[in-house]
Amino acid sequence: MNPSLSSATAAFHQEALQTLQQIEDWTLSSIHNPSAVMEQQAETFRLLHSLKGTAASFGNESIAQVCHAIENVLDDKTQLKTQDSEALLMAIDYCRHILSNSPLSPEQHDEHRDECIARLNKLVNDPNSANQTQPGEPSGSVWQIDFAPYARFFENGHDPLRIIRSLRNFGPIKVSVFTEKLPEFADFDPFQCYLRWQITLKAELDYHQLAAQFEWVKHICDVTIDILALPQKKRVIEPNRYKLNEANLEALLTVSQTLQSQLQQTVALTNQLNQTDKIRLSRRNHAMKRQQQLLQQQLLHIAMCPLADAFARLPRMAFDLANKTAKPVQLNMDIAPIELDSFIVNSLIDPLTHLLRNAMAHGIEVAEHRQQQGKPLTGQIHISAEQAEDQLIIRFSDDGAGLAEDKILVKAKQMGINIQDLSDKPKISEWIFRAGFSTSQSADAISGRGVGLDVVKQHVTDMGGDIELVSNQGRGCCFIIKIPVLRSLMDVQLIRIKDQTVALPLIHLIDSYLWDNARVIWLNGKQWFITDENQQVPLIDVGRFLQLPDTERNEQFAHILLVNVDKRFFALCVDSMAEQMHLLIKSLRPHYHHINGIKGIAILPEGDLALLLDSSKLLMSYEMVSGN
Amino acid sequence: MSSNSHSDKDIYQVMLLNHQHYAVPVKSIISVLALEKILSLPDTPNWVTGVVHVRNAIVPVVNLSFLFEIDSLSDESRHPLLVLLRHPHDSQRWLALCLTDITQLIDTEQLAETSLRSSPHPCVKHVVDIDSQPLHLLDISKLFEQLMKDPG
Repeated sequence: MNPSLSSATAAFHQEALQTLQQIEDWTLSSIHNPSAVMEQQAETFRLLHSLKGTAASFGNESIAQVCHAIENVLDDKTQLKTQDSEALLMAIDYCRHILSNSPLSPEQHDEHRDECIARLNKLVNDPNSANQTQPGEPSGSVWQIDFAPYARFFENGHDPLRIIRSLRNFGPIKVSVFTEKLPEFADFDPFQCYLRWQITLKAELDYHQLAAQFEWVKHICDVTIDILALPQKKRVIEPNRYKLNEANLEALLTVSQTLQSQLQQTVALTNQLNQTDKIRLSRRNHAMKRQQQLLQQQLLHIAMCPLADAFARLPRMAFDLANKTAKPVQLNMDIAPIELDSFIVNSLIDPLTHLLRNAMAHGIEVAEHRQQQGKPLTGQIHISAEQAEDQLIIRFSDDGAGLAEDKILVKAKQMGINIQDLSDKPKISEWIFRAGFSTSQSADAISGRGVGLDVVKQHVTDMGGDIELVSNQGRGCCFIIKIPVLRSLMDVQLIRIKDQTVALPLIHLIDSYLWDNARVIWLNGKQWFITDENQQVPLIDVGRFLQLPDTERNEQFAHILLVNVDKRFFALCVDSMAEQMHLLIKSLRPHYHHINGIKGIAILPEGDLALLLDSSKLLMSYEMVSGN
Repeated sequence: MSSNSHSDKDIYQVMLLNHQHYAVPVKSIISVLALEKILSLPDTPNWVTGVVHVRNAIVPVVNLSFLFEIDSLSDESRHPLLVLLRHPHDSQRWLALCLTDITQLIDTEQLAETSLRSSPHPCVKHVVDIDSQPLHLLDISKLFEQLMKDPG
């Protein structure tokens, strides 16, 4: 296999999946806010068109055809209805299946594709659209087309280049032009065609689809279409032939970090060399450091993935479940923009899926019940995920019925649980995490088999975490999941304080200002900063918080950072600002205990370490010291 | 030597820090490294010098002189080595000791012949005399325990 082709295909797959996600997000948003979202239709159309073209270039004709059918729908609609959204989502799912090498046979794939296209075509007013996109059985995958227009080809305004370009829509082409009939300049007639072309096209197509491109000119040209390669009937599903498990990856990361340390130590040795050798070795050292950093980046790229990936499928799931259960629901998510170990992100997918199904089955009530209780007809599910100290905290809440305590007690008795204190709410919350504990009368496709919350708890426990449930009968419930995080990737602002580099999570930074005495005031024994909005916010000396030795601050370089934590504003004074970076953050655990106000240790590109401030703990600690 | 059948458990590594001698079981040593740049931590006792990034882990560095209140001087040039230790019962937990030098290996048989003194600190199992010098035999488990105690 050509490795460059392989990596290009992998990049195409990744980009295509991202594009599909964007199109799905747009489709789902259009359900709740049709008018606002239709303004973004042009962008969605552009994404689709781009995906169609790229898919065709990579020989993925099925995706190109499905995209084309979606384009027809969007072209025809000014506002999506529910059946439009459903057909679009079905088509998006199909494309995802294709990209993820799903274990379907080619026949099943074709059937699925045709079903998608037929459903999309039904939505379009144009009755001929089905014929435009419905393909026949592919009869070849590589084609050679000899195209020799007659001399009078141009007479009716035909353009051979337009036909050649149209072939590009099917897949990549190679074109050779033959000029043997080209006369001497004196005999040249610009109204006659002297050229012929040979085109090699790589696309799995039906012969008639290809021949149709020449339908209008077949009387004024000679066209021969030959099959150079038959279609690949059976898609070979290749398992991952490389073995890279967690232990291998950890070992590689350790090697990379050790290499970094050793390279740093060689810098000191260069001082013992003469000037020429010192320069030579420094250059080599610099080049090796660069290579080590690239190695580290690649390894981290494998080891980590965005936390948001764990939640990516939930909006679509909520939409499907809402349709299935006839319970309108709005899912709101607030996910911190950090990257965590792929192990954690992947392990979260199942528990989150269970929780959503559980919320839809047992939590959110049907519209009539909600109306009777004075609740909005559309149920609300809120999910937030953030890293606090060295833990990932996920809050999964709904405004549904909450725990049915009476039913739980009955079920608990049936299961032989010794019930002593009926008012012991924490115990009731714990029981529902037991295997087989479901109060649902019947099992359906969504839940009720008693399998679910015990599995959720098992997943969370396997990650070293914990789950608890807070319920308010009639008002909803909230699951709180806490998972220890030993490392993450985070965008940070580096700052300098008393000759030490310190990192601040960029997500909390609102603005930065040069030190301005006019905006700093003393009041009640505390320093305050006046913001642009003329608000007075506490000014915290980070150096003092970190117990760094007092030194004179050079106000020429000093900065004030305006920070927002949970809508609470405060300011930090620092000696100077440095770069913003995407850095690896490590926890002090398991080798040391947590330190208040320190979220973790940031690893700088050269291998040096920096403290990562915990903005919320910093404010809390300030408030405690100042007696608030 | 009277025996060739010593296990690692019986062998101790003697280490020097600011003219004081300490010993740890060889078995608990992961590696000896040149001193890395140490990052100081706020809100920690003075005997926790800070943390270093070794073997892809953030590891706390302990200064025994401060822990045992033997010496109050802090000068990194006096202890250019780090010895990385693992917990006796949990190989995933590490700590590093900063040192001036590492010297000889001794076995428990040699120690048995030396006179014992009372232990000055819970993290020291025994103090024995070797060549008229007090040698502190460290209790690694207690050292880890001490480290994980949250001062807050």
